[in-house]
Amino acid sequence: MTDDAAITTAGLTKHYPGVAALTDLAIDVPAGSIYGFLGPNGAGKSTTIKILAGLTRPTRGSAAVAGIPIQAGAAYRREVGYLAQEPRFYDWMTGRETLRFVSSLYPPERRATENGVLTTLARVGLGDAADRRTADYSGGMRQRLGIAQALIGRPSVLLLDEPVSSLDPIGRREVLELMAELKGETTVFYSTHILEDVQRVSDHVAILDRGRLVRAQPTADLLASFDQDQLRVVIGGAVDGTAVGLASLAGVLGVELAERDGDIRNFVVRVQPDAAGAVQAAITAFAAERQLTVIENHVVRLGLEDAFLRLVTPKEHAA
Amino acid sequence: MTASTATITRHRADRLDGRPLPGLRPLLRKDLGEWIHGRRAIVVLLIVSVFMALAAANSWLNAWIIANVPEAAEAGASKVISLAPLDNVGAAVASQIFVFAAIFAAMSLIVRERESGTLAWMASKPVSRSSILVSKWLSATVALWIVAGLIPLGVTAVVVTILYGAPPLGAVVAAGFGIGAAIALFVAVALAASALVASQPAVAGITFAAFLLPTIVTAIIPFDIAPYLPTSMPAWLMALGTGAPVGVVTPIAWVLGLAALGVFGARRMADLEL
Repeated sequence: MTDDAAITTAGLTKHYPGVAALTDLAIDVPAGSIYGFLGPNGAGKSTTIKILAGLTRPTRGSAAVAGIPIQAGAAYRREVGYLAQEPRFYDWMTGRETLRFVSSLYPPERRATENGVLTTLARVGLGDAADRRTADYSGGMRQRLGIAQALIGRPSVLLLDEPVSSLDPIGRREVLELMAELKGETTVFYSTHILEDVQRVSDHVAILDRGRLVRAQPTADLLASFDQDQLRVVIGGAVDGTAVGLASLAGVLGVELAERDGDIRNFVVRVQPDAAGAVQAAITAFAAERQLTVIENHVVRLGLEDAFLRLVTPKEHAA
Repeated sequence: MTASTATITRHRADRLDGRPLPGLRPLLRKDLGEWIHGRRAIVVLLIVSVFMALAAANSWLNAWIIANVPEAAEAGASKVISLAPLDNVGAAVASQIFVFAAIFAAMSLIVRERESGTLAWMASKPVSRSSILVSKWLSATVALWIVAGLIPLGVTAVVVTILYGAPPLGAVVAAGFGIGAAIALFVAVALAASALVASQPAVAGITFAAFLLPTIVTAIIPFDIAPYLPTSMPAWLMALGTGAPVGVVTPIAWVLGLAALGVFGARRMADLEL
């Protein structure tokens, strides 16, 4: 556990009869971060969020938010603002009444004033709809009200379960922008299977697959770790033996011909971890010896999607 | 942490800053607001009032038919049981329509919120699940006592006064409390059942079984066990109101029954996976 961790879990496990929904999850979520919790459907994301929200008990393991263990019950939940995947509110209440009501559930020192309620509604773009019944809210408005009600008790952590998965592109953009605005103000821990969103707003990411943590690190580091092991090499004057020659270089794991245009060939060269620089130099020397023209020789920048697909076992392989 | 220790800590720890039942007051305001905003209270009020008024007027109607329609009397119209005001207040209360109304109104209180996700939403807040349960019980008991008990009883008393003469006030007041006792008990049964099963028909089944079982059991067992049953509380209060001798066993059974339902419901709520 790190000192500045907003959420800490150790050995967090949830098993249902015949189903291992989550096994030995250990993560430290830095305070103030936007933490994307990524995984395919059924990976255990919602189970984790429900455990952290105090809605489901773990089979074993521990979890704490702001140093308060989950067993502290109401005192723990005071530090957590939770938004369900498809949030539902009391449809006879207006947006303003909903926030007033949620605020009244917190201890006096955490309760929002009437001005605070209106400010929070305005912040999520619902200032004009404050006195409309929530039954009349659109999906995007409900999601934004969900974030507002999660924020109103000034919790240490927001737990958002798939906050944008059911929204149209406009609603999705609005909610993502709102989440990005919260960076540094509170910790946002959210689950998603939309890789583009994680790359866009998350500074940290954890990848979960079949209930097990595959990787957890800053998003930039994760992407950089994949930058290091693949080169794009375009060579003019190449012949059929060029690929074999490249494959024989020290540090090269494999060579794949991606494209061919006359004697110009485009190779994807997979290299050993941290060997990219040495392999690039070796390719330059290799080409000079054979009087080939190196048109391109650079590290391939992978997107999160490529990284995700490499880390997560396809279902048919796992089966 | 094991599952068993988690259970123990949840029961012990759902206090906030040393306060038991955190969040009860705002939850109660919200639940009472739901009764005020919804149509359920009006529907219950109309049905129970009409039914109890007709039950009270039944003897007068029979007497009128026998007196004015000789053919009906010859064809076997019901004999008038009693035209005494108290007997006809008793007939309206004995119909127990308020129990049916309470069961139907209370069976969805938890189940519907569980299905819609608002129960999980509330349970994620710094309130205890026991607060949610107690708030539902208190609000439903108060609301149903008013709309299925006090107002219909008032209507019944007016009908009885017009048709038969004024009933003894003590008996009417006792009937009001008796109805409240029955409603409190069956709302508690419905809520405890809601923490046990997840569908409205199942909750209704369990609650109606709890309603009918004492009648069946007392008919089978050759001893008078009625005073030991919490469901006898309305009869006990009616007896008290009319000055008949009463023991202390029935109120104790009623309190113990409610306490047992409360403990069971709270434990089940704490263990619910939401």
